[in-house]
Amino acid sequence: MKPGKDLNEIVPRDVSELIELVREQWQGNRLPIQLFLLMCLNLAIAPAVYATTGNEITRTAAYAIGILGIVTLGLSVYLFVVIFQPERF
Amino acid sequence: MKTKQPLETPQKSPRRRENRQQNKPGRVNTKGLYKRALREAFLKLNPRVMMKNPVMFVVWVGTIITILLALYPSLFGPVPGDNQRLFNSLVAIILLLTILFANFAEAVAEGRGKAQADSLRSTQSDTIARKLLPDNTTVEVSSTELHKGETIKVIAGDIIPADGEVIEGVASVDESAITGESAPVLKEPGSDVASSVTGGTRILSDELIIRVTAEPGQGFLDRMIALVEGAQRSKTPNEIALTVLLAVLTQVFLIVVVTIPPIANYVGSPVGVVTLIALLVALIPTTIGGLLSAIGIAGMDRVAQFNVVATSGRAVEACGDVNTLVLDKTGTITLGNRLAEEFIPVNGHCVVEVADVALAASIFDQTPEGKSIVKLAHHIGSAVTFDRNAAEGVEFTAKTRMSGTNLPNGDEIRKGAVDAIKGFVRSRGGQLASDLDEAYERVSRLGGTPLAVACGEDIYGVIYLKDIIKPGMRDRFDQLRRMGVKSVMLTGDNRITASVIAQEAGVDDFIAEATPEDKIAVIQQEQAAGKLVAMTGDGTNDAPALAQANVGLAMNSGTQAAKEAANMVDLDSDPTKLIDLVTIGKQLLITRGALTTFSLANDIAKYFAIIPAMFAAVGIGSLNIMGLASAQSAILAALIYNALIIPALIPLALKGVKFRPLSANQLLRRNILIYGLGGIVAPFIGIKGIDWLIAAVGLA
Repeated sequence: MKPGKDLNEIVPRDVSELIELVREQWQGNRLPIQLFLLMCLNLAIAPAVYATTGNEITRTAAYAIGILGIVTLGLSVYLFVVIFQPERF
Repeated sequence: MKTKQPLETPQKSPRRRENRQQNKPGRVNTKGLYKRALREAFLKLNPRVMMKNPVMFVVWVGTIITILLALYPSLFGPVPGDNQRLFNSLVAIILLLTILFANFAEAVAEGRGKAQADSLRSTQSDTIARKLLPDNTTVEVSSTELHKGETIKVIAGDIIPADGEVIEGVASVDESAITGESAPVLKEPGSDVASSVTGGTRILSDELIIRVTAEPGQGFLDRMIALVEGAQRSKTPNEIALTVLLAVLTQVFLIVVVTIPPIANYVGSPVGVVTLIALLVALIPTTIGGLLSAIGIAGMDRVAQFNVVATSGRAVEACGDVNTLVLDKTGTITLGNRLAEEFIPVNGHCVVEVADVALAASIFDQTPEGKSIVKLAHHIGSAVTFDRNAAEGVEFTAKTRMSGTNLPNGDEIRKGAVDAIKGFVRSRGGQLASDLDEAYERVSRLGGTPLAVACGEDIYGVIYLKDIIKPGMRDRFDQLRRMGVKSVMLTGDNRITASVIAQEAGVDDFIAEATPEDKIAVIQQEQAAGKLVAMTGDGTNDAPALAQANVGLAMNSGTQAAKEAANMVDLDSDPTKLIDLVTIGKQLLITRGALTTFSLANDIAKYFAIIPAMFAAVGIGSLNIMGLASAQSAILAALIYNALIIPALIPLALKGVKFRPLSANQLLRRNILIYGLGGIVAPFIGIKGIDWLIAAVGLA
């Protein structure tokens, strides 16, 4: 059995299929996808943190600080939503 | 398959009867409440639930981060100091306890509401109903299959299967399952109040034919259960406003805490993430954030304990903001039944003649007033001298304002408002007696209701109906006045009687000779002046005014229309309770304000505990005015105080701040003194004491 055969059935064949897949997944599993995108964002933030601090912290700590920053920003956004749309809570 | 209820006699099921007595709405079964609340406190740790409370959600996120730091102290880089893992673990445990205490407070308050709903639900049961067919035969069907408009027959011992209106028969009904009142209530057709029956109550004697007025699942009990359960979930306008305020404060403190590390690094005193989280949690208003929903739910519960079912927390809160009370005179300010006290003859007649005519006029009158006139006439020695079956009763109407009897010999006997009787006599070509007005004024000045009696064109005299003001009413209106609440009395009585009663009772204003339309007019007039109005009512003609008022309290004995229009239903049918509800509403608002003041005032001591500890290395140790043992013990002490103050205040949140009938300014001064000053002083003492204990145990 060729390993590529199964993969072909899963992976979308063109861009429109890919967009459709992402859209479906976004509607069904919003939270995991949001978390995944934030982790991706951290791929950009963490190296910047690591570069700024030099050798004072480890690479893992830089990633952790990046996530902490995202969580803090998320909390701030959440609080703004509470302030402007309190009836949702 | 539905179970058939015992039909013989109520005594056949003593256990069930006993259960019903125990389960009356005012006394909910709270057995196992704290155990359930403890379980709920853990279940509420679900982030989707926590997100409903912004302050506690921030603490929740802080707890997760602190737990991670307890497992990996160097997660965010190297941290100076010994025993970081122990310190982080302690902080994580304290933060978790803070959330659990807040969840517990909410769960206890919710538990009481759920217990009330359960107790109401226990009065509901599927019963077998005897549905009447057009050929007057009965067929047994389940109560869930009954529809609006169908007629049913219930006999002694039956549970009434649905809400309805009595169309035939007279019977006594045990309504204790709903009202808690064990005395049976007489139900009969033709009366607004006595003809209404509620599903779930039990008929004790005789039998009734009832027209069903509610579809299955839409009866009074169903709506009450839905209201009690649903009311806990929707936030009131004041709660929403306070939630916004708390979210703004949390946002401000979050920004403050986030900006501290760069400054700390600049001054050479780097601060760890756990310390920052501790500072954030100590500064955000966790006390009021944790107790806010519990205060609201407890307010609903206090209303329920008064045997009043509120449609929403908004209605309870509105009670606290009420500026004007519109009250009926009879039954609210005075005792419900006016009794005939004296017959005053006019126009040359004697007392016995007046009594004879009054008796003849009242023989078909089934109101308490009518019955008391008959009783007084009998006492004087009068007797009915005509064939009662051949006579015809004339019903009282708001338009004619008189009632009476048409005798078999053609005589028209009438009794009613003096003006109405004057008009009647004139229309029959009679002359008005000169001493009539004198008798009318005499009765009015005594605070009584004068009713004139006439036979054809001849006025015989005046009946003095005595009104008795309920004891303690004057004090209660004085209290309301001190709180800035205006009371308006509405009465169908003449102006002199109304002014005498108003003066004696101590109400601020009155409207005499009022019609049902006057009620709605006075409410609209007050609302146009920007005031919130509360009123009570029980009749169908009260429904528009009940709907118009900001707080409408309907009597459970009232009509379906009144109960649907109102936003509160009094199960005991006592209109005076409106005054108590205003007190409960004000108590709810005061409790919320007092605990918010206390929570915010607490921040001062927490600043003095944590900030000097954080920046001790930079030389601000002199700010450690409490003389706390170490930086770590200071942080732990502040957090432990922050956690412990929540359960310490749960009893106050549930019971409410003791209500005092003071003006808004006096209350503000008093609460700022007690909860503002207390909120500043208490944490200094608490934090110092806890710090001393921590140092003594050697935890930090």
